Amino acid sequence: MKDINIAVYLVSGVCLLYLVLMYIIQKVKSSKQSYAVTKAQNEYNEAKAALEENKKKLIGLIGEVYGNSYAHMVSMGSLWQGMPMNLLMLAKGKANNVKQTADTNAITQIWTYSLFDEKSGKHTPNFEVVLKNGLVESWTELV
Amino acid sequence: MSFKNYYDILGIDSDADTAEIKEAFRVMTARYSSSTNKMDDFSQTMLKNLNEAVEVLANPEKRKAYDETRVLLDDSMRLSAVHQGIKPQDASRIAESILKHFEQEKRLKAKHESLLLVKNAPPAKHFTSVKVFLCLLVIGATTFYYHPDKFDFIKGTPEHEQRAYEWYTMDTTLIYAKPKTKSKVIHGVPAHTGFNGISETTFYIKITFTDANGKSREGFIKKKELEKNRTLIYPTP
Repeated sequence: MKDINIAVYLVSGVCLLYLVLMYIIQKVKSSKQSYAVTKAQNEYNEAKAALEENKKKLIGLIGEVYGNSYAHMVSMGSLWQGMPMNLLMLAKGKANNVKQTADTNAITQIWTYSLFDEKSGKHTPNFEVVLKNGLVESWTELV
Repeated sequence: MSFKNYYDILGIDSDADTAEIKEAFRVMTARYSSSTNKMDDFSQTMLKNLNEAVEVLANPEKRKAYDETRVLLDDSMRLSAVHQGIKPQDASRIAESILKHFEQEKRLKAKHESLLLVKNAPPAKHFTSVKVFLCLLVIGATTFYYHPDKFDFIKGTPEHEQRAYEWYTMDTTLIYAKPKTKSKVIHGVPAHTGFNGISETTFYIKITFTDANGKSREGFIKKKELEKNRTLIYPTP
């Protein structure tokens, strides 16, 4: 009878020990995961703050060189005729597609911005900018 | 996609030959691979950039196309400066700052991606309800194997216990040979033992019982030591 009890206790003990071990491993891994999320979040926040800081400096520099009104328009994401390509990149971001043609007088670029549709997996063009010799000439909202 | 200066990434001049490019790639790759936290995002990004740079610059055709784009970009920026009437050095400063801004934006995107990756990582599943259930099952099976008597409740109440008796003993009770106080005690039964009376006198009930030898015998129990089962429904005659 004693041996029988020992066998039952042994099996029960092993099972409970296994469960306790799994519980501890789960807790440790969850803690590590939480720590990794916190770390990644902090790194992301720092990078975001650095980007904001740099953008302020950049807008300040643009204000010095081009004038404050243009700097303000860039920060608002507005375009104007004769806007330099680099400021367009800053104001509207990088185009999804750029087509270039060149003749003896000028280099013409058509920058097309698109929206990505997750359902269809396709880019739908929604904004087009025509640049001549690196300066904005016209822009069109595409439906 | 922002324009990357592969020459800067590799730390070489724009007129470096293929041997110099490969040597620079080897040195830079070793530097980022051997960093203490070599799998961090920054090192990974740098290694990706280095691979990208060597793939383009070590291939003469790709390098030619890349150099043309680089010149075109510089020209566009220069043209922008000329048409805006600003100094070339100012245009260059702005161009550099914008490229730096886009690099930072790209780094932010990478950080965001890694954050999402960590956030969306599947949770640890070491301690699950299935494991708990299986462990309990093993414990239960072992106990059942060694102590089946502990599982009698599963079988339910035995048939003889389900039978309703007319009388039940209230405490440990003596069974007498005759319905007299001074008669011989022939047996004893524990509390809550059920009997059906064969006949009854004023103070005694005649019952049958099984003695220590397993034989069925008759005896008498005092009525005052019995409790009548009032829930018993008697069949109508």
